[in-house]
Amino acid sequence: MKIVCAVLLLAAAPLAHATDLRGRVEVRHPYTKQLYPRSGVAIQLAPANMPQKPVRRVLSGPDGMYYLTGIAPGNYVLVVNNTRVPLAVRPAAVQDIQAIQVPS
Amino acid sequence: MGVFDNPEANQVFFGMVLLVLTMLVPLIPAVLVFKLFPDTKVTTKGPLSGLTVKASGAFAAYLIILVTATIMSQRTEDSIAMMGSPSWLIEGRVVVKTPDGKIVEDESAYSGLQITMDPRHYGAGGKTFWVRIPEIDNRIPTVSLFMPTVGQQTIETNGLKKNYAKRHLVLDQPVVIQQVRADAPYDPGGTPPLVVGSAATNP
Repeated sequence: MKIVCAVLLLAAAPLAHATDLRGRVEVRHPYTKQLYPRSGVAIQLAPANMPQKPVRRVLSGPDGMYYLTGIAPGNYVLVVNNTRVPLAVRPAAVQDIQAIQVPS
Repeated sequence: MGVFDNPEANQVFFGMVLLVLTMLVPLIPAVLVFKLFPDTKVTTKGPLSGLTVKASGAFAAYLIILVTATIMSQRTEDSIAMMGSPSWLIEGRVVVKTPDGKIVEDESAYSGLQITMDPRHYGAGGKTFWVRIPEIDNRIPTVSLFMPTVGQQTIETNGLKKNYAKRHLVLDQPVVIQQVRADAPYDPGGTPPLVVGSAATNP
């Protein structure tokens, strides 16, 4: 019984330290030069050592925000518009990712 | 497309036409069998919609062909069901004018056009939502649900069970939006936005 509990705890450990990520996608209007939130941009999160195998895929929302919940700490890449952005996920309840500006 | 302007009226009309044809067309081969091969003994026996049926002669031939025709008409029923809710394509051009009325020719001014509809093709109230989705190139677009400052979830629509008669995609389970654990607004710490590559299709 103790062994079973220990195994279950070990298996659940990554989830206990999982981090929720928040980010925002923006675009600078080429005519007015003002920044505004960009919805519908596809964002993929992939392990840094396997960037071609994303573990999550989301779209940015009407406010430009996107959320990736329950991410195990480690080194990843965010893939946005075919550009890979390195991302180190820290053990935390929530981590706010630097905003990303995409071309118009 | 159709006899009537009302899509639902077209649905009813063509549904009745299909029913009549399904009932009458099998008579043709049955009568031919009866006329050409009057001495051939055709019998059929078995369950049909919960009843035990035993028939012989031309009527047996008619029953066999009727059952076959009913099975084959299922796909046509699906197409008739689609007539009830058509989608329309609208294509147009847009012109931007300066405050003093001059047309802006600079292409950069036309970047980022966004579109909404009234009435909307989606809505939400409390814990429920609805979305009307057109098929595009034989695919149903995925639907993403966003709850500002809370989280988001994507519905993979192409794997959902389809109710063709009601034009419904069946969601058996509620869509779970996992709340982000945060008690403060989004704050990337004052760093400027990271500029990424050229415009491309979604990966």
